[in-house]
Amino acid sequence: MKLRYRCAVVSYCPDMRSATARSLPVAILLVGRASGGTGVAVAAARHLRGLDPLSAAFMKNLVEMIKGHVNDAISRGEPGGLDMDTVLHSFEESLRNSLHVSEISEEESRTVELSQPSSSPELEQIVRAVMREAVDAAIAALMEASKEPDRAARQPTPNTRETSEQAARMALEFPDTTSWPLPWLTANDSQRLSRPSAP
Amino acid sequence: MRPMGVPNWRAELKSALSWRRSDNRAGEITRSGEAGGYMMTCDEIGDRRAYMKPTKVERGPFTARAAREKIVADLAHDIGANVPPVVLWERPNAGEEETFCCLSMVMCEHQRAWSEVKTLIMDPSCDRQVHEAIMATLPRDAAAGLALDAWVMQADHDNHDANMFFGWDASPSDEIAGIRGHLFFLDYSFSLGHRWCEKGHRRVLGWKPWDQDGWKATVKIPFPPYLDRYLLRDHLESTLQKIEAFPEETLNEVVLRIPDEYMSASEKQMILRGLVERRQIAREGVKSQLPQGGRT
Repeated sequence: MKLRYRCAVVSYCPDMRSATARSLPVAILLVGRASGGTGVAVAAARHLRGLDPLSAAFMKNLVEMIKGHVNDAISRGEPGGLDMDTVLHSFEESLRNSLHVSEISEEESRTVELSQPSSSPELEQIVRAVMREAVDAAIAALMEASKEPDRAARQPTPNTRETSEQAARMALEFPDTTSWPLPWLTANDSQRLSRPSAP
Repeated sequence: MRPMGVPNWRAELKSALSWRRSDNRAGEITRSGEAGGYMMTCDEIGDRRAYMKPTKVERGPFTARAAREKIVADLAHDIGANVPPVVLWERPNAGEEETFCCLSMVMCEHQRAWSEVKTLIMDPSCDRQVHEAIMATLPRDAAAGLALDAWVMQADHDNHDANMFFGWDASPSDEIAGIRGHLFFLDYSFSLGHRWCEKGHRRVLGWKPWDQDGWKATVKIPFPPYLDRYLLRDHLESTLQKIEAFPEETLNEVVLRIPDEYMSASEKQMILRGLVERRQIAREGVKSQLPQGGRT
């Protein structure tokens, strides 16, 4: 079976007003598609330091928040049309503030052998592996960017924003983060998802 | 009072500064959206950003986005609604993209989309201090925003959680209680009788075009789900009174000073007439959508 997937990097901007503030990757969203349907997985940084208390409150349930956005994005899609592009770009358009999508990867694919068609546990394992690779790639990119002297020189004081070194440390906590696939979705499943109801 | 570092764009019509793409692109989207835009900066405003739009060339009459953004931001300033200040900008070397653009100042250090805020304030397990910090200003800001939206017939604040945000600057005390944020309203391209033909938005809403007297409508204004229940009624009333008493001379000044390259003379006349008449209609539009009760 061929698994096709794309990733979105969710980043946090420490100062939206600033022309030179540098965003930090805080979560990775993966949307995958195979013959069985479309699947979604999220990995988020477990510890985020240096946030003001209100930002910390917003970031407390980062994974749940991202899941909510993804469900919204899926529910807004055309019936039966759970294509990766729609989900990712709808998700991106819903996050355009301090928390935002900084990158959407090109589609990649891999062929996997499954003992049973659409075997959920096996697919989960594959998604976890792909997630880890995506996270590692994001960390590598961040570390590389932090070596650029002109960008690093523009970093503001550590008291108000993260320095590149702090950013790197923050990101390095990713591999400890739990990631998991949401239920493997078929097109019909999308109709079950709806906006959160009012209390 | 303007926050420090925010220029007085209510008094300014067109920016003559040399704007360039900002290194910090948080808030842009990776593929061009409905209007398209970039984060910009320039030396004269220090380390600050503004969002430039549109990049897509306007599609015929009654679609002037930049001019609409400017008009509504000026009106919002005068009635005390939270819309970031806007200035027009003639973009040099725009190539295939739009030349007659506008810039909207990025206002706050921290900004959270309404979709994030609503989740937090509706969550029963939400920290009490967090809830109080948001609710200290949100009912007042939402009330002013609804009154403005009803006046200008804003069509794009319904199921579009990214067009509102709650923003704040970090408190020096690092305590939630010291934080004073505000709810801001964005993106007034689809107001003042804009013809959103591409997606048939007007048809979905059932609104008549303003050049066919569509401004007369006392329609329900699309507003964020759940937000109308938090409105501060006293502030809604005082903002509606400001709109009703808004000087016609000021409306003339705000609308007719827009250069013809940004909006045709006939479109300006159409909008001016609509705004003048809707001063007395906005209240009816608001009334039709208020839930029973609500915070007063």
